[in-house]
Amino acid sequence: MHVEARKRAAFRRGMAQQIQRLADGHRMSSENFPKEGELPKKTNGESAGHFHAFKRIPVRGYCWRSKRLENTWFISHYVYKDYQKLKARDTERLGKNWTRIEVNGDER
Amino acid sequence: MSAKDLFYSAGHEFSRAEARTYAREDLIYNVTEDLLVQMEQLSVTKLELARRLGKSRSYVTQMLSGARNMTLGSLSDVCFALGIKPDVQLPSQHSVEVEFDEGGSTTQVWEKADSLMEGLVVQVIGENIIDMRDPGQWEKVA
Repeated sequence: MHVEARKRAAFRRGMAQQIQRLADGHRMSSENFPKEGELPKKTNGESAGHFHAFKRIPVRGYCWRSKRLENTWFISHYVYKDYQKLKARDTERLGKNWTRIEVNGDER
Repeated sequence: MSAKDLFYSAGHEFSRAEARTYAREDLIYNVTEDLLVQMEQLSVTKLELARRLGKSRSYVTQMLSGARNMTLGSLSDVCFALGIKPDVQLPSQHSVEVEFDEGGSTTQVWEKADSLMEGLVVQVIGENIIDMRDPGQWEKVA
């Protein structure tokens, strides 16, 4: 990631705090934990829902709530997002991770 | 396993200054996040909150992002403007335990800081004092 060196420590703390809040079961604001793209469709064409992003400008951590494991969120990956729209490659990368974990049960 | 374990290697020792910074940012993040959640529940935008506070939108944005230091006074003003009552609790039973020993290990300091944060709760609860969404209330204040 290309975060300025002097900001790295603060970013790391902030990212840990976001995850901790979610893990503690507190509600997340849609401003800092927005709903992002759609998860891959099920084989019957139904939507599997959306994934979210831990937002801390300019970093995004894409994640989804597991339907396979109770009270569990998986973080797919983090990106340095110096652009507006969600990129297809991030949706695709998340989709692959979602399929591997949710469909194939491979958490590696 | 705590979220910190995801970002720091096992055995990483935190200085007292780092633990203090983490605790401060943790409190700021959780209070501002609680306020944002309340605003979403009440359908109050930042612009509307700025109007109720008589401040600029950038003031509100900076305050809710943690970029601008929030005083207890400004927290109270925001809660008043939202018609909610903040509840700040300080755990008096920990007042002796959290005396930091300058000679103590940094791990010990970190654990104590965690323990302090567990007891320190700032809740923004949805109890209405006066429903400031009611335009009539604003006319009374004016």
